[in-house]
Amino acid sequence: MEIIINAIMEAFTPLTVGMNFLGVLVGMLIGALPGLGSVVGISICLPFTYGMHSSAAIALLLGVYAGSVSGGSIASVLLNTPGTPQAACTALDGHPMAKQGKSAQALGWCFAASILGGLFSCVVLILATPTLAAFALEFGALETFALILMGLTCISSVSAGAQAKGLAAGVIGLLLACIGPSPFSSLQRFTFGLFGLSGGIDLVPVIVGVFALSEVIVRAESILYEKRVEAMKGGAIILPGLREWSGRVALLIKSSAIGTFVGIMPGTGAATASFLSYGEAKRSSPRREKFGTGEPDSIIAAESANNAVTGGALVPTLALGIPGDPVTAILLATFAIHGLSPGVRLMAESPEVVYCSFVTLIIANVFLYPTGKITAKLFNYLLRLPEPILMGVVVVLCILGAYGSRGNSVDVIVTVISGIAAYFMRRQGYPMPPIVIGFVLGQQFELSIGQMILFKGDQSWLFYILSSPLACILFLIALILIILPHFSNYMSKKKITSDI
Amino acid sequence: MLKRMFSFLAIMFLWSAVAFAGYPEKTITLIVPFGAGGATDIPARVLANMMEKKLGQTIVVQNIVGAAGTQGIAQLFAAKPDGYTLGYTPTGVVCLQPHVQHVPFNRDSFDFIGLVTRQPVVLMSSKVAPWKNFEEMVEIVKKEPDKYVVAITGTANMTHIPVVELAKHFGLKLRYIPYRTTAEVMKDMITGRVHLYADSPVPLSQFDIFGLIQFAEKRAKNLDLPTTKELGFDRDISHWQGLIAPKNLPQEALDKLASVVKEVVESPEFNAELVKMSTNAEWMGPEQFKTFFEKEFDMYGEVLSNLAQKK
Repeated sequence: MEIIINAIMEAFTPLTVGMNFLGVLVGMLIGALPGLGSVVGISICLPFTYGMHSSAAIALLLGVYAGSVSGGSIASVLLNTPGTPQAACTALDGHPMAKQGKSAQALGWCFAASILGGLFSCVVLILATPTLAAFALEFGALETFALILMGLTCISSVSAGAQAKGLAAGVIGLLLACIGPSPFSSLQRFTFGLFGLSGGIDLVPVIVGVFALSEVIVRAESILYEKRVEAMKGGAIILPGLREWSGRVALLIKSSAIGTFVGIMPGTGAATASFLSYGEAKRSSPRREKFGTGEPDSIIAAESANNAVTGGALVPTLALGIPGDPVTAILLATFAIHGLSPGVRLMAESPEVVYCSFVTLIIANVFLYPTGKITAKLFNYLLRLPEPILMGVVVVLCILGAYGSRGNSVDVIVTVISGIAAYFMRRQGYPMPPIVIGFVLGQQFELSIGQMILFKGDQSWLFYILSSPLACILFLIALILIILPHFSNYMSKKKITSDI
Repeated sequence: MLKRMFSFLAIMFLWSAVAFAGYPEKTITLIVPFGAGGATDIPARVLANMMEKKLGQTIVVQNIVGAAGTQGIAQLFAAKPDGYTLGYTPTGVVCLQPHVQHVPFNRDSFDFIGLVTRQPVVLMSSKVAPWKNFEEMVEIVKKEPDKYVVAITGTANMTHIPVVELAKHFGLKLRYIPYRTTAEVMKDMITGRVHLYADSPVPLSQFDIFGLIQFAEKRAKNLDLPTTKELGFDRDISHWQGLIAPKNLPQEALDKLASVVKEVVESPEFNAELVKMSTNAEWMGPEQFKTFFEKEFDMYGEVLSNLAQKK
C-alpha cells in the first residue's frame, strides 16, 4: 500500500505532471497533423528524456503516446484526412457529422470516447496486469493464427453492400503485406528488383496514401469542377450529454475491451484495434444502417478502442518486458537507460515505477480534454487557409510523415502510388477499410501460418489443433462470424417471402 | 597565365587545407540503420551525445530503418565521404547481409573509424526445457533429433548462424522457427514453445531464461558461462558495433574522429552508460578495426556459402 501511495505522490510531483501535460500536448499536435504519428512524436521527445528523472521521462513518453493516438481524430473529423493510422476509422463517420455542421459534437464524441476508452484500459491494467500477462503468453502461433482469422472476418462486415469489392480490397491489403522478404527463406517477393522495397512496405505510407492523399485528390477534383467545398468550422469541442449516451454504453465497453485486448497481444497496435472494433460495431450495432452518415456509434467504436490500446499495450510491457507495439518498445528502452531492468523482474524489483506508470497514464488520459481543446483551436487557424493552400499543406505533411517514419525515400513513392490507386478505387465504389485490415494483419498472418506449420511438425492437423482449447474456441468464433450474417440474411428473406 | 593559374591552385589548395584543419565545421549526420530506442540506437545516441561535447558540433542521429538494416547502410554508402555523414553499424548489416541479399555495398565500401562495443553471442535456453546445462542439452537433443525448437529472427542472420555452426560441430538436429523480434521470441521462450535462442546477452538480465554457453575464446567480463573454446569448439562469434564512413574519408577527418571516439569509448562515463544496457565497450582503432572487419566478413562469407551448398 505504501508503494502505491508513493507512486501516486511521484506521479503528482510538479515536474512529472508538467512533463505529462507537455507530452500529451506535443503528442496531440503531432497526431493532429496528417501523416505524423506516435512513432515520430516519441522519436522527437526521446533525446530529451536522457537527462530527466525516470518518472518524468516516463510521464513525457506516455503523454506523447496517449496524446498522439487520440490527436489523429481531429484531422479525421475536420479534414477527412486521418492524422494517424489509428484514426482512419474515425473519419468514416466523424467527417460526415462535421459536414452537417456538427464538428464540435463530432470532436466531443471523439474525445469522450478516447478518454473513457483510455480510462477503461487503465482500470483493467491496474486490476489485472499479472493475470492478463499470463493470458497473453497462451498465444502461440496457432492461437495467433486463429485470432487473426477472426479479425479478418471484419472485412465482410465493414464492406456491407459491396461484399465482392470489399473482399477484393482485403486481398489487395494481404498482398501488399507480402511485399519484401519472406520471413522463412529471406527471398524477395514483388520488389521488381528495387532495393528500396527490399524491406517491405510500411503501414504509415499506405494509410496516408489510401486515406489522406486520395481525399486530397477527391477535393482537388471538386474544387476544379466548381462544386463549392463547404468551409469547415472547427475550434470547439462539445462533449455529448449523459442522455445522448443512452443505448451506447454497452458499445463503449465492448469497444474498449476490444482495444485493451488487442493492445495486450504483442505485435499489433492501435490501428488494428480501431478497425476491428469498427467492424464489430458495424456488424452488431442497432444503428448500423446509419453508419457512414455521421453516426456517433461508429466514432465511439473507433476512438475508444484505439485509446484503450495504450493501457492494454502496457500489460505485457510492464509485466513481461515484451512490448505490445513499436511505441512501448521505445518505452522499454527508456527504462533501460534509467537503469531499470525491463522484463519479468520489473514488477518485483521496482513496483513503484510500474504503479507510477499506471497513475501517469490515467492523468494523461484526463489531460486529453484540455490539450484537445487547445489543439482544435490551433487547428482552426489551419482551416481558415484557402482550400487549395490547405490541401497543399496536407500533401506536404503526408509526404513528410511517410518519409519520417523510416527515413526511406521509397515510402514517398509508395504514398503517392497508393493515393492515386485509392482515388480510382474509391470512384469505383471499393470500400477502403478492408485494404488496411488486410495489410495490418497480413504480415502477422503469414508469419503465424508458417510458424504453425513448423511447430506442427509430423503431428496430424486434427491432433495439433485439438491440443489447444483456446485455438478451438477462436476458430469456432471465426466460423460463426463468417456464417452468421449470411444466415440472418437468409432468415430475413424467408420472413419477407412468407409475409407476402 | 600559367603563373596566375598556379597561384590560383595554390590558394585553393591552402584554402581547402585550412578548411579541413577546422573539421568539423558543421552539423554531422549519424545514420543508425535500426529504429529509435533499439539495441543499436541507444549506444549510438549515447556515443553521439558524448562526441558532440568533444567536437563542438551537433550530431544528428537519423534512423533509417528496413531490410535488416541494409537500407540505412546503403544510404551511408551513397553519401559523400566528407566526414559529415557517418554510420553506426552492428555486425550483421555489414558482414552477413552482403552475402545473403543483393545490396549496393560490399567488403571495400567503407572506411573504419573505430569499434565501439563488443560482446559474445550467447546461447540461451528456456527454463521449461528438460536440461540444466550445455552437456545435458547435447545429450538430450541427440536422443530426440528434430524435436527441440530454436528461434531465429531471420534466415542466415546473427541469431541463426551461430546455432547452425554449433549444431554442425556437435551433430545436433534442431528445428528452426523464424520470429520477427527478440521480444516475440521471449514470449514463446518463457512458455517453453521455444527451447533455444542465440543472441547478445542482453535478454539474460531481463527475462526468465538462462544462458548455456558463450561463443568466445575467453570468458567476457560479467558473463560467467562456459566458452565454446572450453568445449573444444573454436568459434569466436561476437556482436559488435562500430562507427564507419563512406570510403575515402579525408585523413584529417578520420584522425580527428578516431581520437575523439577513442576518448569517449575509453571514458568511465560511456562505460557506465553501456553497462546499464548490458553491453560492453571495446575500442579498436581504424587499422585494427579494418583488419578485424575483413576477417569477420570472410569468415561469415565462408560459413554462409557452406550453408547454401548444404541446402
